[in-house]
Amino acid sequence: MAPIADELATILRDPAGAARRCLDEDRLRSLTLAALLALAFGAVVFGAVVGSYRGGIQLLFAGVKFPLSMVAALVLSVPAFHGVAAALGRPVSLRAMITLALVAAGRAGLALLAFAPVLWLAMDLGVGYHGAALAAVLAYALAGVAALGVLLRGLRAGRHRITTGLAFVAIFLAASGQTSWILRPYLVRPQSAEVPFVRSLEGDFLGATAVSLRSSLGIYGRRDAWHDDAAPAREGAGVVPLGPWSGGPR
Amino acid sequence: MPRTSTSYLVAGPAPGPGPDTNTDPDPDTDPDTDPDPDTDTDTDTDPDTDPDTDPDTDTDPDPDTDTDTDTDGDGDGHPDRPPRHRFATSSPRAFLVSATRAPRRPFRLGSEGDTSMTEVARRWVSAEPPREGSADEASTPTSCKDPTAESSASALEHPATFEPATFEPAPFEPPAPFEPPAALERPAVLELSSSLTWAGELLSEEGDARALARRAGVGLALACAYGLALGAREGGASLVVHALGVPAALVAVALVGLPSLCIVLALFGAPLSLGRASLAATRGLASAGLVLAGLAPLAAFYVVTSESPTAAALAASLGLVVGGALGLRHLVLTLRDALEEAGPAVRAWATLCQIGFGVFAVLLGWRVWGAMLPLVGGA
Repeated sequence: MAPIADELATILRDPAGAARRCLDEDRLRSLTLAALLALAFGAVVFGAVVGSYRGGIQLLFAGVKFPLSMVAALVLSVPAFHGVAAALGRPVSLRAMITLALVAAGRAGLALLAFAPVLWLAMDLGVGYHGAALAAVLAYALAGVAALGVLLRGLRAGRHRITTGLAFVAIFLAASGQTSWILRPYLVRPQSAEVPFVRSLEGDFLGATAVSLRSSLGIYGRRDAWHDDAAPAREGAGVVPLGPWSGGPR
Repeated sequence: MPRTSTSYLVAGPAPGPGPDTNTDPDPDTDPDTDPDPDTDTDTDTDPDTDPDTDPDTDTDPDPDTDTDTDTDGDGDGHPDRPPRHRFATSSPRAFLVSATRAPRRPFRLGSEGDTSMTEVARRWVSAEPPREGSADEASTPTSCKDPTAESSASALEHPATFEPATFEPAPFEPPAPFEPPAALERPAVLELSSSLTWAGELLSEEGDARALARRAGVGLALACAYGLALGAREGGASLVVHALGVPAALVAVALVGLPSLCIVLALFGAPLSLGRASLAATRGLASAGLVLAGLAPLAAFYVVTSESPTAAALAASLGLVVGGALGLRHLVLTLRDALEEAGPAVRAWATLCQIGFGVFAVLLGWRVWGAMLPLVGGA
């Protein structure tokens, strides 16, 4: 247990050292194990807190789907990280890149674990649906910043470091956005009678983002303006206010 | 002859009667044993014939010839030499007695005291067998073993079999400053990674024609993986169509566009060899294939899980744009490196040509993909 605790401390306090070990492939076993544990535990707790807004079975669903979404996003992102880094003159071995991404995700999991009590308290104090969604998004974004610290340090100094880092961010946003969209809902209103584990395949992350952007500009159109081949949209279904965080149009 | 004090070879106050403790190896300086008084400039009469009396009480009346250089007061005859062990005595018995009374020091390998003991042992071993009753016999050290003891007493009883310690401390050498082996030095990220990763080897600039061809083939195969991902939306024959369509644009740019660029550059006198152009094409293909293969899982996920064909086409197109752009970047950079030796005017023309080539490559690639990939509106 002590080695795991040491590795967790390394991930939290010394992201540069953790990134260096990933690149040097130095004692990866314990580091990877600690990162996986941190990712799983932090995401489960944070998901359960988000699911507690409705309670009941949604607490379990959200607790399962959060780590599932993060791991899926990592699986989809890492090969792209590897290829893009090599093409930008920063080739890293696939093994090192996988570990680096895992450690970054583990740091994000620890950050989510830290924000979970705050979010729970806010919900307990009666924050509204949109406020809870906004707080959850904020916590998720801060956890992403914590993870980015490891990834950027893993790139080391040199040319195209910022470009590569931005590419990583874009790729991970695309991957996590779609995985989150597929596995929604997470935050469900308390009055919802039934809660599915996942919704049926309706729309997509890019479409929802486009619609949300138009909505933020005050342009409210029909949903099938993007989904030209979709069935006639239901009344009021043209706006997806908070993307993957919402329980979907109701 | 000037004489220096030899008191450092003389034991300290040894109790009891004993022979003369003068161990001066140079008989010329010893007035007691020097047979030739003419050559002895020392007028010292050395009244100290009894070791019971302090040998330091030398009453040498000639200060000019008897220069006591022991200014640090440790009795070793040298101004800065640390005090020696007091084991060098005139006889085994005297040595044993003095040694057992000498203050014990912790054994320290390589210390000054150990060196002295070793020196004594070396002298004892290398010395001629002492003649009976001679002065050498008295001055021969007996042992450098730590005299505790029974072993010493036994040695006194059987001097013929008494053997000194034979340890020889290794000569002190200052440790060399640590220099990591060249293989462990951490060079710049690019060099380190290029030498270690498969991707770095794929994008390497070295290799013969066969190696370049192999890398180009690997790049095209990787691009096929992206095509398979795009074909996963429809499945079946669509897999093959997309798998062939994605690398087709890369091949078209390399086979159609690059020769044209080489011809135009040659018209301006640019020193671009065929080998260098081939290398540029290979690196471009490998780079594009690497990126496209990396994006393949994400693209497959998007095109399969997106409800609308528009979103799937957008996701697929984004990947094609990113992969094609990075491949084109590698190609152009390699060409630019090849033109470093050209003059400024030629380089300026070459830059313009490369810009034109870039536009041409984008248009040609998009034309091919648009024609061959059903997902992005072709076929």
